[in-house]
Amino acid sequence: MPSIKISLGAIQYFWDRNTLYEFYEAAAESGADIIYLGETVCGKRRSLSTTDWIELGRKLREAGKEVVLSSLCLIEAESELNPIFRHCKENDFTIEANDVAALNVASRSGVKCVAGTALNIYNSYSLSSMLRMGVLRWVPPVEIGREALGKIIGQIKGEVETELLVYGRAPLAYSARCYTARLHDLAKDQCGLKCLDYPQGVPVYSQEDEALFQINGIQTQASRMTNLLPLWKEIQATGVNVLRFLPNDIHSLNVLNDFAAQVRSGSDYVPSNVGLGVDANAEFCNGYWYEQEGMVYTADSTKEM
Amino acid sequence: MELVCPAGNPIAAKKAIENGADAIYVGVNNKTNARYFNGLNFSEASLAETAKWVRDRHKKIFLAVNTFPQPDGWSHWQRAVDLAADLAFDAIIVADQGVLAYAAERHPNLNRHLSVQASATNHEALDFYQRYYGIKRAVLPRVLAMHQVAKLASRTSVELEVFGFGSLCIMAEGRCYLSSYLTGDSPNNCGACSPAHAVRWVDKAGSLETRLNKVLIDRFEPGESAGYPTLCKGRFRANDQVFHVLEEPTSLNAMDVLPELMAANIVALKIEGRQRSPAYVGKVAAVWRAAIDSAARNPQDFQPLPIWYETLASLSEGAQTTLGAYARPWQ
Repeated sequence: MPSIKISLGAIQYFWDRNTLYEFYEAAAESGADIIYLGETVCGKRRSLSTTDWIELGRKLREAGKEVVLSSLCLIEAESELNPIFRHCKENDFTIEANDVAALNVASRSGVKCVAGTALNIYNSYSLSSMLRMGVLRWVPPVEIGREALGKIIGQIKGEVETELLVYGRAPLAYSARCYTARLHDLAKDQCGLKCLDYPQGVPVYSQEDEALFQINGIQTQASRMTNLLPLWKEIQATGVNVLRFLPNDIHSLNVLNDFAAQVRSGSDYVPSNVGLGVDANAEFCNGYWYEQEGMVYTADSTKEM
Repeated sequence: MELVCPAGNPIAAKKAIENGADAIYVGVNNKTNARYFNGLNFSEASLAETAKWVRDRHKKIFLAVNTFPQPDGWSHWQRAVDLAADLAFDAIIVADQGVLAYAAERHPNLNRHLSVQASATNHEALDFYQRYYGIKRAVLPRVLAMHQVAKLASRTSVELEVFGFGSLCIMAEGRCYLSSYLTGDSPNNCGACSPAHAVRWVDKAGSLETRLNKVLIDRFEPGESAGYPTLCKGRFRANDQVFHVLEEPTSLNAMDVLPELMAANIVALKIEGRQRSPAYVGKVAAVWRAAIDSAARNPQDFQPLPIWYETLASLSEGAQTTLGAYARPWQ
């Protein structure tokens, strides 16, 4: 079985410039093989310009990382396509298309693509149809479980790589409307970049204090963090090639490094006592993997014995 | 402008056409469409009868095949597409690229409309589906402002259909997994949002709780009108405020922008609600028929009648209507 790769998905939150550079300086030294860069949630988040992202990408590539530039997930205004036009014109990196618009521009320019999780590929017919557009790798929708995933990978017969979210908050919805602005009674156009105040989003609870969602601008995330790390061998056996981390803060890299070291030694994953930062209080979920509601967590059966 | 009305059963189909619909859209009674509810939708036999009935009246009928096939059920989606072709439907409404590819190859003469579930919100996305799958028309997501709709229409040769009235998805359609996070079922994976089997109404000392798979979605005091626990319209707590964190339970009503939609060359206006009763469909169709005719006759001085608003408001979820993203009061 070929060795499994580890990726760092694009940061979903709005961090300031220094925090981003600090994070990617650490990421350059991390156990990640692949790093996705760019703003995927809101076009108003411009701590780094398109040029900055491209420069950062080149540095990370020099540090030995495979770099992919990610597009926005919801593209409404023409101007929101500009980073994609720029990336395709330079044709220096693979693009992660999180909207078919990005896939359209990339395929027209002959730029290779990763089909992002929001492209809703639920079956091998849809995936096969997208191979002609230059798709090298795909990320399944968050709600796909192990049986469905195994079947799709089986049917596609190694023609394309599969990347699965194994650690981090799953994105659950995108809206035209900004919920962080709504929370502050602000119009979207005068949001005052409030998301900067919430580097991990805003938790949303039921009236019975059950944590449900995390508001992150126009994105709504799962409150509980997906954690499939103990299942990595099963996931690899399903045919997945790349395991994706979505970071919550710089400490998420500690988890990634700890995990990467264990995966590379081929051992079962046992969490070590690493500095967890904001992840220390995280509740986990893995329901989607087991074809259940996403929010539930089933302890690994092999660990219980 | 074509008035496209929902029909969850043959009686609703007739009510829609008799009250002025130019076209109806229907679904097969299985997971292949985004309103997979008990007792709703059409058997193959009733689909054939209804298609004939509609065609005899020189109206159009579309088949919604707009969910995303799971690896096991592909033959159901294939069958639905074949059925639409065999029964000479005027179009199929599709979201999945695999289904689009199959239809384009197998039945090239069957018109393909891109479902709102495919969430095409910009001209490059429309170009993508036109280039690769030859779509004739696209239904736009309910996330675009009026000026964005108009701009999009000016940049594409794909026919555009927009939502005029009905329940309001506030998330980009087809890209919302909130329902499966709580219940396992979502519009994409099985054609249902906040599915009925997961809903509980609990009377607690006079106040009414609505729950979705045990999770409290809302709590209503006596006298408050209680809504269905669609989870994006629940009352939750964020930053120590309890409120409709995502959206109030309102319905879309695009009546006020009807002349602008016409001026933007929007070819069709869609009414949401295959899950609604035939009486509902009939009343809504009649109002929109009158409105479209009035706006077409005299777009400059289009004045919606108060009775139209009253009728639509009385039929709306929460009795509140909004222009939603078209006007974007929250922008």
